[in-house]
Amino acid sequence: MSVERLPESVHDTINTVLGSFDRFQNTPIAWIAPAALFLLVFRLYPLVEAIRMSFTNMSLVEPGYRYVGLQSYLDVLSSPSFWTMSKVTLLFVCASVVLQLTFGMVLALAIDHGVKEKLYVSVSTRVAVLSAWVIPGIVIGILWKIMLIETNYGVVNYILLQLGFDVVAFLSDPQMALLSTITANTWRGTAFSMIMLYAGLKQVPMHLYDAAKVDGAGALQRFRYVTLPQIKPVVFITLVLITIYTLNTFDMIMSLTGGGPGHATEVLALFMYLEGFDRFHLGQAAAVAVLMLLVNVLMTVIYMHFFIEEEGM
Amino acid sequence: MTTGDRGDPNDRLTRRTALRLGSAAGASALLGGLAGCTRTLGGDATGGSSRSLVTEDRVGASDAPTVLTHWLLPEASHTQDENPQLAKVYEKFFRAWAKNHSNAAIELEYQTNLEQMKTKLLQVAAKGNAPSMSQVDSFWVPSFTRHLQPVTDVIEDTDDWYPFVTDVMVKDGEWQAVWKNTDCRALYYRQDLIDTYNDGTPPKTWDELIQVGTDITKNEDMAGYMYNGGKWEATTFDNLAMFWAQGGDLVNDRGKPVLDEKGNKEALLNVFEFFERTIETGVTPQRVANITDYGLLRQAALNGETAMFLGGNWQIATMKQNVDSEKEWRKWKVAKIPQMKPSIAATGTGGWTVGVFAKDEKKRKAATDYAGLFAKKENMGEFCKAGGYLPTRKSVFEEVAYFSEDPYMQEFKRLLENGRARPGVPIYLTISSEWQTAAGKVITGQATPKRAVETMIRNVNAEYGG
Repeated sequence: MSVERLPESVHDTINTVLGSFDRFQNTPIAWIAPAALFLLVFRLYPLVEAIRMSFTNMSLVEPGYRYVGLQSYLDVLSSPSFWTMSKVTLLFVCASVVLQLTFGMVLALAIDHGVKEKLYVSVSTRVAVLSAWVIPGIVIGILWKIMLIETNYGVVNYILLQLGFDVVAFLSDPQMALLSTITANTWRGTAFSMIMLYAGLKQVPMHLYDAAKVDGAGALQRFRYVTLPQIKPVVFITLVLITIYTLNTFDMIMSLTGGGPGHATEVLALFMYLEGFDRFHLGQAAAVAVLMLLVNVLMTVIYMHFFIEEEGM
Repeated sequence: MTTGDRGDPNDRLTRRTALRLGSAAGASALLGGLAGCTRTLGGDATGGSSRSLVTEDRVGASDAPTVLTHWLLPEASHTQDENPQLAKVYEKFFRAWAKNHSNAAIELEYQTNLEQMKTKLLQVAAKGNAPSMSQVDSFWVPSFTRHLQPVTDVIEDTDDWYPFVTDVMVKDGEWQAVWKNTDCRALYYRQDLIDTYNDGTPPKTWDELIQVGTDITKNEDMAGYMYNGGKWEATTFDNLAMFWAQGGDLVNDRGKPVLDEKGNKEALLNVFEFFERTIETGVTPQRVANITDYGLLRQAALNGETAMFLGGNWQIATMKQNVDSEKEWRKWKVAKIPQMKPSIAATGTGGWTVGVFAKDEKKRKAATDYAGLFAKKENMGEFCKAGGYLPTRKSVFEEVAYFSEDPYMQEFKRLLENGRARPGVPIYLTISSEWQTAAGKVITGQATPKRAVETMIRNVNAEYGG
């Protein structure tokens, strides 16, 4: 039966339903609802649940639980390991963010220059850098672990030996282990900064550079007085995002060092994971998660405040 | 349909409407299809003929009135590819069970991850929804005491089982599970080097180990001794033997940590001072702080980077597979783990059990019969031989040729006499985690043994108290 030959009553019903759908489609709620529902179910509910859990003594393996007020927070904050890990986290995040932003900027400028000069190498550079970004963190950890094996069979140590150096304890020396972790994270995260900053650079009007050149500005001056002010909002967004990503990194560290030796590379995100899924203390793991959330929010507020002031917004 | 056939536009559906209807019909068809797929999977998920007694995920007749559920890891299954010999043994056992239980069937429910399996099992057991039976790590058994049903009626000759087995398995006179296979830790050493530097006898004490290790390190351009020192369970479990051998206990009968008791604290400190000595003398490279894989120890051994290492019994088989000639792997021998004094001994033992959770008597009996298959001497011999495991019954080492004629197996048999299992109490997870951290700090010089031990004890007690 073709659609033209439907009985009139059916036809009317279909038209009524479709008409209602059309009217609904034209209301703002129809467009907001899917996103709102998604946020509610997958973002807000877990967040509220995590906050609720942080006030309980919930365990992964015990059916019951009770509310214990701030006890989970007190347990976490009174642990000396927590403060050691906080210091490690601070170092890891600061160093990673600075390096990712610096290398991201250098690469973005190089690619921008390459594109302007129509150099083919800019495409291959983008592909190479992006490949680091698309690899899962756990794989990156394993890759770096293989590269940094502390015998002459490790890729990096083999090269060092060939150059006349000694084998370096990349992962078993506490300082070197942290440095290796920062390096691996920088290698992974630089691509994101590069993409963001490159997108920012593309928006800078060429006539500003031309005017600066006419005024006799050198390359560094053009960067300082033209490029940076123009891409400041992008730098801000990048800074916020890479700080949050880095603060929440645990998968790569888990496969690279497991947080060791000792607590040398144990960041808060890894501590939270181990607390919840290794020691089954969901309450304390949730407390760490909430503390990390507060740090994330605080940093975002600081950045926003700083940049809003700068921008005079 | 041609445009010339169109009548009154009000009677026609627009193209947009027709497309919408088409989309809706398509979506319905897709959902229907998915539902159909679900029904198909749910209706016959056997992966084979319903008449077959052993299919991919069912044992016994598909229409059997009594249906048991069995949780297991894919590697403990008759469908696994890695070890066809072992798969055959599992299939043989399944067939034997199905033949004797024509009114029952076992639904095999594969778990993908060991750690998740434990957590999931604890959760479902706590809620009263445990499977009829499950593969249970021997170390977990005490955690499931409340839920496990006795399997005593399939245990024959109780004196034939190793003491470490009965210590964990027997509770109030009842066997909680069938411990079907075990393993142990041992000192692996290069016989040719020990011939040269220690008159052919492997070191029995820490002092001897350090002495021989120092000589080898100086003269052979290799590490004297290596062990697991990274952040993972083996760093605790392998080295716990040195603590246990001194008479140390991690927890008391009630599961309370007792590391701060004088004897235990001393034993712990001695072990950590030994770690420090291995590094300070250069016998062990500091890179052991990042060893989190037995494979790295084997690799170091086969690459000529170490003369001795603390490894697991299964490694002799993997070394055999990884070298070209028998001469090569036979250079490696196994011996008792060196201890503080020559007269003491211990080795950590693990392995798997089959635990029965079904409370319904009919199901419990049928599940226990399956578990009992692994308890029989001949079956255990066949199963352990195929899997490269160690038996938990002494007589298997004596009466099954594969074990009685192999010098390595005979050495493991002796080591198992002093076997010891980890305490299956929740605080062990914290003890192990703290041990790993403390070991890492001592090995890398971040803390003295005394300080590391003090911190470890304080954290463990705080965790227990908290």
